[in-house]
Amino acid sequence: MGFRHISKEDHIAISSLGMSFAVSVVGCVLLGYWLDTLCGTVPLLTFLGTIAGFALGMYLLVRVAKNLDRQKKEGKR
Amino acid sequence: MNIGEMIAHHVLDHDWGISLGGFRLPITNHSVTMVVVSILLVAGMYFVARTGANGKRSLLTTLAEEYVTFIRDGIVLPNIGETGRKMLPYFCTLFLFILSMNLVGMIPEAKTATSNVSVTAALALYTGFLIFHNGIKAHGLIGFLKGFVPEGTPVWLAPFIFVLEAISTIIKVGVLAVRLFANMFAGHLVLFCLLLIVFIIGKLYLVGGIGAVLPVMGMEVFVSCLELLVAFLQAYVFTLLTSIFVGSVVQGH
Repeated sequence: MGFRHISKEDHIAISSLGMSFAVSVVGCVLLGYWLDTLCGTVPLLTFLGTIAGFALGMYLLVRVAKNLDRQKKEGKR
Repeated sequence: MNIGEMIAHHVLDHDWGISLGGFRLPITNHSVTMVVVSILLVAGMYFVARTGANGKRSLLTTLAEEYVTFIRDGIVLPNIGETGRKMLPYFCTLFLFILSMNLVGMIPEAKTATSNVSVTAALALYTGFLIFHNGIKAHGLIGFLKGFVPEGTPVWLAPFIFVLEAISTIIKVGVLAVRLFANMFAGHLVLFCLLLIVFIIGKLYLVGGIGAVLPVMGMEVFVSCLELLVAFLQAYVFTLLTSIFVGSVVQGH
């Protein structure tokens, strides 16, 4: 099958991609909200946390995709 | 009691702790379950170890040996390598602890401690500690921190990537906690909500409620079997992921 080049580690990385994305967004939003209530800057840091969490989630997604692409190219060689 | 309260009563933790001179000692369903199961596990394993040390062979000794061999050859050595031998007792304890906590929830009146996010977060923190400890031990502090920036990263981008990689390590540990918690919590919620179907239909139309008992019982048995599978699977996944994370830090990073 076409999945032979994917290592066990990457299978797990793929299976937890969705949860990584969710945890990074929710974690950053909560962190932003907590800092907001601490500094009294509602909703500035919550908003920034949302953007940062989304960026982090996308970074994790792209990193796994790039890693898989590299492995596929190495497998073809 | 409305349905929401019933679900919360069944699924959530309950604190009947005591206050000692202003200091709150929380005694909860989950903490009691955890302590009781831990004592039973320690006593049981001590008994098995002593039986083995005396040279007597029994079914329990063989089972324990098979279990340790499975953790060593199936999880620790392939992912961490020879360095992992020292950590074998931790992985054996981790798997058995999570499995027992997951399974004990299947006994009526007992609670699943792993459906409490504080318990899974504490377990994940141990994993985080193992990652950092072994990474620093294997590569030194500077070498470990350097590993956060992949080779070939432009210098101007390196600080940004370093922060992202460091946070992604924390996210990895967080996902570990959420995965175990969500699986165990959701399983019990589904079991209870299925049972509630009978009472909801029965309240609307009594004969319908009685008629729903058999199909719901069938689904309960099915979901309970699924829960058993999930209990083993999640214990395995947690232990495997811990070993993979530690291995990736020790070998390559």
